[in-house]
Amino acid sequence: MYCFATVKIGVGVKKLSQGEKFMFKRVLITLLVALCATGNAWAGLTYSSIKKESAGSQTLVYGTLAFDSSYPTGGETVDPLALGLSTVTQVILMPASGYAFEFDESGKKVLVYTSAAATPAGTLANESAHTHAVALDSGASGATSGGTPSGTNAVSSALDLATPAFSGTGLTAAAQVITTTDNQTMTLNECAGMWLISATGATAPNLILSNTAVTGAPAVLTVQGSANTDAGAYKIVKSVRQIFTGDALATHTHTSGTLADAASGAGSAHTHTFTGDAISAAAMSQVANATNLSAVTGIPFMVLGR
Amino acid sequence: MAADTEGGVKAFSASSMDALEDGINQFLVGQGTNEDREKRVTSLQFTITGGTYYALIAYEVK
Repeated sequence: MYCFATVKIGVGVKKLSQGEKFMFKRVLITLLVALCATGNAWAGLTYSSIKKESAGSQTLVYGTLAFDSSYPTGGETVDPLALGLSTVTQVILMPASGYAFEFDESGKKVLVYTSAAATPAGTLANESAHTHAVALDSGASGATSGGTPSGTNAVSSALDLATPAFSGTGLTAAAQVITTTDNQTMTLNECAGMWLISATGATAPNLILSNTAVTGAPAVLTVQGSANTDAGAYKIVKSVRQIFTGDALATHTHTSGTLADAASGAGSAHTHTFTGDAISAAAMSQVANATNLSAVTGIPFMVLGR
Repeated sequence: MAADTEGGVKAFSASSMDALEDGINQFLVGQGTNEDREKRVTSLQFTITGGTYYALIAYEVK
């Protein structure tokens, strides 16, 4: 609350004596104190519950005060008129809300201080051993480059009529089964996949599907398609096989794939060790210009003045 | 005089430390009237200026 008191003095009506002027000042001061008894706002400081007592040669004014929303660097001015004084010689405020206060006697201002920011000097050691689990989602594989192995294809086992697996004379067909006239010794299905060829070529070759195991007895061969009877010589030869001879696939590349986003698992518990010095004591610093101190209220204060 | 029931702020001045202490004690301890109640200091500020002892207390009423 702002308080103003205006007194008009009739010029030329009466010239006041020195004693009357002094008394007028006292009355004016008293009026100001009375008008501003609760909640005086002057230059950012608002005084409340003001009481005034004589203290020897000085006057003791005390109560509580509050700051406004914008602290000016250099301090808030203490206006003696707001306290019913003509001059202020000392101001004492109790620390409050984490702030300390100092009275600048020459400037008649209250400075507000708070602790300065401090950064401890030291080092942070590497963390102790720990693990982090990483989960990967399925990602798209990259394309592979083409590769052609070097080498040659060759028929390593052509129909070799000169060296048949089995040979003999005389074949008797019954449905798909051909029974040799002579005796053979062969294990079960040893001739499967081989060709039965008559020496004269008068009958078509027969592909052998299976055979029974015989020892010194006519071979019993089951063939593909219609069996043929041929009294002449016959040969059982191995079928043709394509053999690749070459090197391993030459050096080639696989382009990188794409990993989808994956959530990392929580790491195991570990510690970081800070090694450093304690923060050295440092003087408090004045709060920054324009700091809002409107929450700093109800601060007991005591002013000495005359 | 209205009874002091909530507490507040009170300043003291004296020419000696003992006188200042006496003044504070008398203020804090009830004097037997209905208006006086025992009080408890919640904060205290003390200073000496020009040979005069000053104290500023914030107090609450028990």
